[in-house]
Amino acid sequence: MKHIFFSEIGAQLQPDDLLVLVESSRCLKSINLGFGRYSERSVLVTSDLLLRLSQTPKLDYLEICNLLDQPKSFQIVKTQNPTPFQSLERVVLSVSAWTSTERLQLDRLLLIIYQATSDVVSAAAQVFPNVVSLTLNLRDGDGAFLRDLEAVPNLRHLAITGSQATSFPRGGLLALQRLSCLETLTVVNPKWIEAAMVAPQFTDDDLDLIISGMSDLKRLEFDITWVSQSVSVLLSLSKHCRRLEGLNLDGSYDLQALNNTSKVMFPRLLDLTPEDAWIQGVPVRLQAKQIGRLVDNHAPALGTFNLRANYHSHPVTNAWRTLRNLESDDEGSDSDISDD
Amino acid sequence: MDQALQTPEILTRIMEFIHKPNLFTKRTPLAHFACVNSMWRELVQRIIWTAPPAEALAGIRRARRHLYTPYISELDFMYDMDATVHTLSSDLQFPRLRELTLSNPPILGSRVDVSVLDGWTLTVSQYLQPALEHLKLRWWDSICTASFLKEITEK
Repeated sequence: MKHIFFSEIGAQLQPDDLLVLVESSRCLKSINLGFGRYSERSVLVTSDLLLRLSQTPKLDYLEICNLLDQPKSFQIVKTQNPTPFQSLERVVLSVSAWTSTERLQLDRLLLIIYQATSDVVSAAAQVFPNVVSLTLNLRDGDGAFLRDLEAVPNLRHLAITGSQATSFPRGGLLALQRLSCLETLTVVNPKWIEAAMVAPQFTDDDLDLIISGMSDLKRLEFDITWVSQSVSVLLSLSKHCRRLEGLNLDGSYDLQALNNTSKVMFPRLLDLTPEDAWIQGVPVRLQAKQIGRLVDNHAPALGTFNLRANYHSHPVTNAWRTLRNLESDDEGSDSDISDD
Repeated sequence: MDQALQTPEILTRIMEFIHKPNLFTKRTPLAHFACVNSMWRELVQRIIWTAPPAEALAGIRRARRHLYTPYISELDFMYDMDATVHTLSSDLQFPRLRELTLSNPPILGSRVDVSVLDGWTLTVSQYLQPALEHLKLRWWDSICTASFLKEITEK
């Protein structure tokens, strides 16, 4: 067996059953241990199983959805196997423990909420040295594990889903600057939590510091807000991340300030998905058509731009679409931008 | 007949391109091609039965099902609501089966417990053989037992 995908099962299994399966599958290339609703009740992924998986020579994909609240599981792997998971490139690390309400959301949105603790992620980072893609779904924590991701030097794609109990203090976020190979950085809340995560004491300069070494960054989704967020964030991205193709930032930005920059800011940007909040509270100086021109000028390759306000396309979106000879999504106002 | 239309490699490419089963009826335009000659029929069978719809075997007479199972390399029961379909193939062999997806999906928030279906002895062990490389198992605890995993390791 080369590929094993388990999902929403596990009620009839014991940890040893899985151990036997993995031991006999020496050619295993990918495995998804998704025990869904049983995750809370039983620990099926034990340190013994992780150790066996770490010795599987061809394993390049690992997804775990089970109760992993003890860093010890990974620490044992590190102790007993000096070269763990040598071929492993993609990891989804998570613990499923959703409530019935969240469960309903899952079925509708086809999303999965996983919950992992910071301590577990820190320990896990030590045993996945060659991982290129890491998806983390956090139960709680303060982002301290981000410092430990330094142990994953080849990391190119990092996706973090937070929760209401997740916070990202400045110190944790600043550790991201060490991940200089990143091509994709996603830090988001589950879709049904509308409020963005808040980073106390974080500043625009901090973000500039984080991305200053990420010259390969192609996609950034950053669902974190901080006080005094300004358009300088966009200038920093333009300066350091010239390969940026996709951008989704939370916060409010005065796009009118782009008028002060003559150089094309995002030559490769294909997808700009601004939140409604981008335009909230911004004093109006330019017409929507003028801002549409600015967007067109600074992101000439842009294919998707959909700034919305009150569930309708914002006049800036319509103006940009007109410039590109694209049809408008709906009938919006063609006057100045408003503060709503 | 043109030489190209007698060359299995070329014909296979053409037939693979044409083989697009109707989403609802599951019928494929290739069925007509099978009437041309024995070589065309053999090629059509190989393509049609590589990854047939989950209930395709049910439409074949029991005595003839074994003629088609050797072609099957992929079986996907992910969206098949009737788990008893597996009894139709319990005495057959699937020597080339490489990808298998087994599922007993929830219906309206509840799950059908196949173990309580009187008169049916469900087994999926017919699919387990050395060529199997890819196993997906979802929503089916009554099948995914220790003995099932043991059977996988033994085969």
